[in-house]
Amino acid sequence: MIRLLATLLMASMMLGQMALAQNGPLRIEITEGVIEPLPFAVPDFVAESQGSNQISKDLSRVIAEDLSGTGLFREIPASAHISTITHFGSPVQFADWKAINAQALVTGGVTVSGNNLEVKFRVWDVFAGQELGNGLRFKGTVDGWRRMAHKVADAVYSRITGEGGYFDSRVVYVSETGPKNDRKKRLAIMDYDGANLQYLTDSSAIVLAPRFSPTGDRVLYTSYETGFPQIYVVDVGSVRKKALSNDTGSMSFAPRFSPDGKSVLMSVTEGGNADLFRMDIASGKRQRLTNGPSIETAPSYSPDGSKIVFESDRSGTQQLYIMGSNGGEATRISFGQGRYGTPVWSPRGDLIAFTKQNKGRFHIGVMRTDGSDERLLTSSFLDEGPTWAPNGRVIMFTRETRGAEGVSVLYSVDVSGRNLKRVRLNGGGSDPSWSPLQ
Amino acid sequence: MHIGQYISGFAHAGLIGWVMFGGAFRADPPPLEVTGVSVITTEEFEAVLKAQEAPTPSTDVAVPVIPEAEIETPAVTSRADAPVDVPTPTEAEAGEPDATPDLSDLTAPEPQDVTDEAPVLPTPEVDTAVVIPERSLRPVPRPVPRVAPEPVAQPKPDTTISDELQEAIKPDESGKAAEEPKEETSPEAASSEIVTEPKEADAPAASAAPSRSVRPRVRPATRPEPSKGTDAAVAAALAEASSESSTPAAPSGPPLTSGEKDGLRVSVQQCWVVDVGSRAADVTVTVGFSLDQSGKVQGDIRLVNATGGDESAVQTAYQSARRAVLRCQKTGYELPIEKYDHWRDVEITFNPEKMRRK
Amino acid sequence: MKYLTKAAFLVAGLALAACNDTSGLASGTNYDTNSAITPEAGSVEDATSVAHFQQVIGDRVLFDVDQSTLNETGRLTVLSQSNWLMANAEYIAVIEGHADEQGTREYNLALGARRASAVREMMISQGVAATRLRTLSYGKERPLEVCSEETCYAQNRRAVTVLTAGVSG
Repeated sequence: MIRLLATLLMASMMLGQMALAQNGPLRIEITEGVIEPLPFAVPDFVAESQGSNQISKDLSRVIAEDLSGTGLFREIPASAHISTITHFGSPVQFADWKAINAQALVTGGVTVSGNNLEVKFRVWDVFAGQELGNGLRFKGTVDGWRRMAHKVADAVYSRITGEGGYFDSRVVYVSETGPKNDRKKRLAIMDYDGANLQYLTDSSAIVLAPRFSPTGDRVLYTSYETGFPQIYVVDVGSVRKKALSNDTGSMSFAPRFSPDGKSVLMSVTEGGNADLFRMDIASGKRQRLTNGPSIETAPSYSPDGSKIVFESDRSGTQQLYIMGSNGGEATRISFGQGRYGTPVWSPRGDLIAFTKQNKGRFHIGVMRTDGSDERLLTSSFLDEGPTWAPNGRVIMFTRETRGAEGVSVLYSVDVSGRNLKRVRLNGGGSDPSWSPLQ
Repeated sequence: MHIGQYISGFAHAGLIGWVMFGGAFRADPPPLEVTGVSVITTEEFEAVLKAQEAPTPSTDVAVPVIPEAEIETPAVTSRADAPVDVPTPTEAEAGEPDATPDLSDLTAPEPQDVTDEAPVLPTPEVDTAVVIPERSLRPVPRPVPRVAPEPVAQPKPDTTISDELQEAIKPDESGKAAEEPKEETSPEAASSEIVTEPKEADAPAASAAPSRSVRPRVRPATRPEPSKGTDAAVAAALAEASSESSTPAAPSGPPLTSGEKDGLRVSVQQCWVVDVGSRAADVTVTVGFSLDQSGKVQGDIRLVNATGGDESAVQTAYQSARRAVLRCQKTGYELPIEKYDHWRDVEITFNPEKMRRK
Repeated sequence: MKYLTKAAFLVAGLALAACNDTSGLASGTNYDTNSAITPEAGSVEDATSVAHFQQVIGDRVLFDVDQSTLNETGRLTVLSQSNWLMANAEYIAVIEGHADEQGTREYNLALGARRASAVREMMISQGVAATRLRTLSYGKERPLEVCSEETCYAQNRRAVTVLTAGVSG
């Protein structure tokens, strides 16, 4: 009797517990992860034709450097690899790559025939044991091998991060030599990683703040070759230049292309007062956008061309303002302590980068387009003039050191503030401008 | 009369006593055990959590490109500067070229865990080869050396625990080489390695209770016998009950304690790499998956829900989450086997909001 | 007050000229060039020379940090510059504005322009013909002093009046 009772009791309890157990999946929330570079491996691409061994190796190196240079990836060197890739089509031994903790793997093959170069590649998610996206094949000339490597790296980057890359791009800047009180400046253009340097002007006249066109084929800049700062445009391919403004009564500077490439924003000083103007390139007609006794300069379009962000000291100190692209009411967006200048709208449209001066220090910072979420990314004696990489993730800027021996060089930093590093340059440089993806 | 009263009284007392101390609570000893286990665990986990929280996700600057670069410490602007954040920690950490301390922190808790009782690996009851598939050694906490039907079982349990010894995993992993070919030929399956066996194994497990023949031995080893006390018949029934409840296959005991849940959370989060500058950092994603009894993922890790970001950002966030779960499982997540039913299906929400540093 | 200052300057100028000239005499009158008494044309003593303008009158004014308005010293200098220009109508001037390095590039260009303009405005108000005056800014591109201290910065924040012989009018 008791036993029966007991059994019944137990049974009911068991059932109760079974019922309890059946209440859906275990749910947990994770809010803290790690920020660390993703380990990846790029074994040398397979040379699939005679004489393509060296170029395969070089290609693989450039790809690895592009990825590592972002600070988001960390290469696992070949010395640690367990298996090698000898054929592009062979199955991947994921276990071997897992064993060395490579989370991403890039395999590729290279064929050279005459002057033609063909590069194909695949990206693998090692731990999921599958390919990320589809393999791709690029065709080009042997001379353009670096660009191909950058294109491969862009594809790899984009598959893993889900965003566009920025490696197949160039930077135009002012190359500087000489002492501080006798600086020689000339326009220079290079691949974003410092390769393929080329000069666009000589150093006979001061040149300042070059800016790429939206298609990367032309560069606007300010030059003193007439004795007064005027705006010029130079065609990058032909290196032919043309003056856009030649108004002897005024000075023009701080030019920027509109997103459609048809007009140029600029700052013009008449009677000592700097205001913003827009000039239609084809007709040369100028339209005034601001009119006031304060200094208005350093304008930058939003990526959709509807708005302009600029700096003005109408409040007494340099601050950032946004107005419609036809002028009109301007809204202030900077409110922190210190002075704000050189605003540049991100190609992603979500952020504005700027230079901030406060208590004797300079900072490169970003804020949302309504002025919120201000974050400073750098701090030094003199940082200024940010420019965005085409994917809106990286900012390049000028850093100058103090004193008589001071020099200007270029630095880059990730939008998160990580991975601050110096750009490889011959000599000094300033005023960088990043091209769009080519 | 008196005798009757005495007997009745005695019987009633006995019944009451038995009800109070016998049957009713028999069901509890398992929880007692479990509680005992979790007490130890919780402390450790909390210690781990504290240690875990202390270092903010460290930034591993793998690119020592510029020796000459000054370490950037963005100046802390004055209070009045409301919207401005102080990214100093990042910058400071960016200067350190060392690997993340996070990982090493976590290795601590795992060893001790309860199961000293466990090392008795009584039985390769391996009729259940099906049930205890893959996994070579479940390191310490697991009472059972899964006898896996595969050649893999290379007992290097300790080495598999810590992340930094990943190279040491090689022997294990390469031992798995046999499984790998499956992956290669079936490119689309995520964690294809796991798909096949666990799924089969799961079937009988799902039938739960009755399959005690499959598991039972494991249990008794861990559960010191309190259940087997007292009343023989009752004990028998109880034994049946307790072994049932303890059987991993069966609907199991009480829900997981917060310490155990935290254990899983901490295990996964150290493999969750967040790219704070990307648009995927705006996405909160929930992934769902199933675990076999050894704590390994079986089947796909599927996207359950996502908020924020566009499609591409969601995909990236999902892939990161999936990678995190797959990378950190090692030989299986450490979860109490007796509560298997509570953690067979898991949904994890990855929310990077706090990491976005404003 | 203005007249007094002008007179004072004239006298001072004469006195200075007197000091330099061993012959003890100096005035606007012309002597034949062989005479040691005459100030050499183009020399500092020649009040009509550029050298005189640069070194005696002072061809530059300095500004305070972030300022583009003339301070008291600046006003005095610009006054004499204006007078000189009016007395020497064959010259035109380009006023170059500069800034120190403690600012961003475009803003400093604009600031230099403001400073130059401040000088020009005052000259015009003194009676110098506007068409004779142009302004130019170098921003922070042409520092005089290169140390990164206030002593150097103070020298760099300047507006320099550069004379060229031009078509008068």
